[in-house]
Amino acid sequence: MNQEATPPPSPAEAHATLADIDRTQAQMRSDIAQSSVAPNMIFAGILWMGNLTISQFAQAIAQSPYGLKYISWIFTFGGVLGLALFQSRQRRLVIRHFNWRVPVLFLVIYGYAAILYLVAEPWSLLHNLNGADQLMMVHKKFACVFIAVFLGYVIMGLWVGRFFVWLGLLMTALVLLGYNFLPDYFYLWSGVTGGSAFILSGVFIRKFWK
Amino acid sequence: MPELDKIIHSPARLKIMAALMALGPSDQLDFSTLGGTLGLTDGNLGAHLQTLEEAGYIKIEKTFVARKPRTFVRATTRGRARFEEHVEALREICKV
Repeated sequence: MNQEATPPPSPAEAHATLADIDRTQAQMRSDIAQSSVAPNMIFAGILWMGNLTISQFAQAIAQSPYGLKYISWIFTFGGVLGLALFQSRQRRLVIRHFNWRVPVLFLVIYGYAAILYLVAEPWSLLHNLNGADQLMMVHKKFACVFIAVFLGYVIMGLWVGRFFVWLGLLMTALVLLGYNFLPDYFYLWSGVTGGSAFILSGVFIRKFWK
Repeated sequence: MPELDKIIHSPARLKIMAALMALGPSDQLDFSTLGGTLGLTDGNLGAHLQTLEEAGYIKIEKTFVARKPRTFVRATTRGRARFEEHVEALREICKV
C-alpha cells in the first residue's frame, strides 16, 4: 500500500515537515504533562506544606519526638491516600503500558534506605539523648529525607530540564539553612520551602513546559 | 534506501502518527486529547484514524472508564516502523 509512488517533497518541504513533526511531538508531551503531571505536583506541594505546618504546631501537643513522629506518620499516610484519591478522580489521557522498571526502582531505593536505616540504628542514639537532643535527632532524620527528595529533583532535572536542577540545588540549600539556623521553626520552614518547590514545579510544567 | 509512506504523507495523518510516537510503544492516547492537541474535529480525526487503522498502523480500542465510553488510540509496531522509515526518508531528502 505504501509502495505507491508519492511525489517526493523538495528539501525545503522535507525540512519543514520534520520541523512540524518535532513541534507536534513537543506539543503532545507538553499537553499530557500540563494536564496530568502539573496538577499532581501542585496537590503534592499543598499536602507537603500542610503536613509540615501542622507538624510544626503539633510539636507543642506531641510532648516528645516520639509523639511527633506518630503525628507526622498519620499526616504522611493521609497525604499519600489523598494524593492517590486525587489521581484516581482525574480524567486519564494516556493508558500507560506497565513498566516493571518503575516499581523495581522504588523497591531498590526504599530497600536500600531501609538497609541503611537498620545499619545506622538512629533509634539507639535517640534513647540516650535528652529532650532537646532527641528533637535535634528527629530534625536530622527529616533533613536527610528532604535532601533525598531534592536530590531526586536534581537527578530528574538532568533528563527533563535545567529548571529542576537549579530548583533542587536551591531547595537543598534552603533545607540546610533551616536545619542549621532555624531549628525552632524547622518544620514550618521545610513545609513552606518544600511545598513551594512542588507547587512551583507544577506551575512551571503548566506554563512553560515544552 | 528508506521510502516515503503514502498513507503517512498526508499532513493530518503525519501529525497523528507523530503525536502517537511521542508516547511509549504500548501507551494508548485518549481520542479527545489527540484531537485537541492536533486541532482536528472529531469527524476529521475519526476518518484519518480509520485510514491508519485499515493500514495496520494504529489500533483503536473502545472501553469504559468510570461507566463512560472512551476511545484510546495507539501506534502499532508496524505503524512505528513505517513512521520511522518515513522520517528517515525525509531526512535523506534534506541531505540532497
